Amino acid sequence: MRVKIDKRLIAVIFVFLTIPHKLLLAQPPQNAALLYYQAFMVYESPNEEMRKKLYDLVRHQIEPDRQITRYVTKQQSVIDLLTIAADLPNCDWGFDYSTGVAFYVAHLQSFRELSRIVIADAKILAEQNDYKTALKRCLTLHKMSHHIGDDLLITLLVASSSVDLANECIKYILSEMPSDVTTLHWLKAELSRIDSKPFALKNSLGNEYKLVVADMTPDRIDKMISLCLEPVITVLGASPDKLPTKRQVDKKRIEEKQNWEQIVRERVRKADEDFLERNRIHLKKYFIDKFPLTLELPYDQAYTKLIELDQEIKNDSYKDPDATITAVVKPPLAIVLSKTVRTNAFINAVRAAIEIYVINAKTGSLPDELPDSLPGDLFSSQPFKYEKTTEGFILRCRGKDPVKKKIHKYVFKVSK
Amino acid sequence: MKPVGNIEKLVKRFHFAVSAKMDERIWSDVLEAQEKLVKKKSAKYEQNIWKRISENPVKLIAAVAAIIFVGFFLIHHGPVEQSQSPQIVEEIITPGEMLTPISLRNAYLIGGMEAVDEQSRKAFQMLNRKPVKISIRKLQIEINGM
Repeated sequence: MRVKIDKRLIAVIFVFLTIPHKLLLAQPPQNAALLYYQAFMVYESPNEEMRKKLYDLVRHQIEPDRQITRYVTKQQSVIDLLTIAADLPNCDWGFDYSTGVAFYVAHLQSFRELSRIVIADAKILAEQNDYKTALKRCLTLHKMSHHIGDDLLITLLVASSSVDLANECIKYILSEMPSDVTTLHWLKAELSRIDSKPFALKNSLGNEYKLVVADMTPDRIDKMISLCLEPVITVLGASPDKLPTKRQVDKKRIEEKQNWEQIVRERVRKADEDFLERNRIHLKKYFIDKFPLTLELPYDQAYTKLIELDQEIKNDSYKDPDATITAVVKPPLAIVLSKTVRTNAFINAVRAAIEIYVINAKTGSLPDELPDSLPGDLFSSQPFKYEKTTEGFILRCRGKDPVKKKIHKYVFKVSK
Repeated sequence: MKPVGNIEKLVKRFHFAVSAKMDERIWSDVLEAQEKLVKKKSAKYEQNIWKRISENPVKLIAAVAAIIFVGFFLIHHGPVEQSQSPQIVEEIITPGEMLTPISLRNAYLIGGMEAVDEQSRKAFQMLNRKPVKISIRKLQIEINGM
């Protein structure tokens, strides 16, 4: 009997056999957010006691105890999932900006909790002298922070805080671990790869603009204004003294704010398409033109100019109804800018410190002067001030952080 | 329209933000004024107050009206302690709204990242979505009654 062989079948078999073996294996999805969402669903949410312990641990106020170690060990499969997600190049959280400002960023809560769990694991590993894996955990958090990203101002703030958390832990590990040039070179290369794109405000600003414009319709504007003006004290349902307040608000300011809110609500109540269109033009002038241009300036100039613009919008809004919406939704750019600069300055300090640790590992002693061409202080755009101490060294900023009202310093120890 | 609806409409016209702080201030003023008033009265007057009211029909009507008004006010606004409870907060803003970018950003401005954590935590508490701990066995019992 003669068997008829189809040429197309042969072609299919040939192609199948020549495909690289790797491509036939199961691959993670291309979008890291899908894995993050899975991790957020399956991790064990810490109870009140554990939550407090994790807070204290990541702030280096306590050492990992048996209870923490047991809890973190139970989250290992979730940490593995996060590690895979963090290594993926793309992360799209699936935000729908057309829904306006009332869309949810509920994932940030889980992200924050998991960030602390990852750092707790790093500290446990460091305690077990597994410094390289501990550093890998910190790098995972760095990558996760870039994924949570600069889509919005709040995600940028969360990302910034998580990077600070990771950097604090790297600083701690570098201070504890014995000299190891190979690990230091590896860390330096990884950090410059991950943080090659510093956190920036422009992208967030553009998306915040989209959200506000989506809500500038007669049927949605009222809801947006209420959400923007809602006092946080009410939201938290706590009396002001119970709130973790960093900024004290005086009575006069509250009264002034209430009067201004009354004017805004009155105008919005009467809002028609004409009012909204004139407000859209005003909003665009600031969000698309003035703010991004200001952000191009060096930090100290940008900060001053942003404060001026903020006041300018506020003053305009009293007499000019066209400035109403801009005044309500204007983001606290000067504060967010300072936060990102603080984070980027900390990244620079860690990278500069690694160079100093490398010199120490190679020569057996710390350098007397700060080597040239190291990443510098972003508050002053100058190199860090370097000081040797009995325990190690300090890198100091030269410029003052106007929000925190202090000059930041980064203390590093050298393991004997 | 229901009386509740009428009152809501009336309150909206006042143009002031209802908040726990505002409630607290109003109540502290009311209580303070009440305390001052009580101090001025003699013990004798206090003992005879109901007798005096009941003797005068105008005073009686006024007293009944005042009691109805206070009762109505308490039913719709609740006592001072309740104004700070999460149940009332839930009526002002939903847990979902507490998890919006602007609401969380406002929290950051007041208390930094700790306030963001606290607000998110409270929102999830109110939503009661994520169990602290659940085992496969518990899930099986919940789903299949096994």
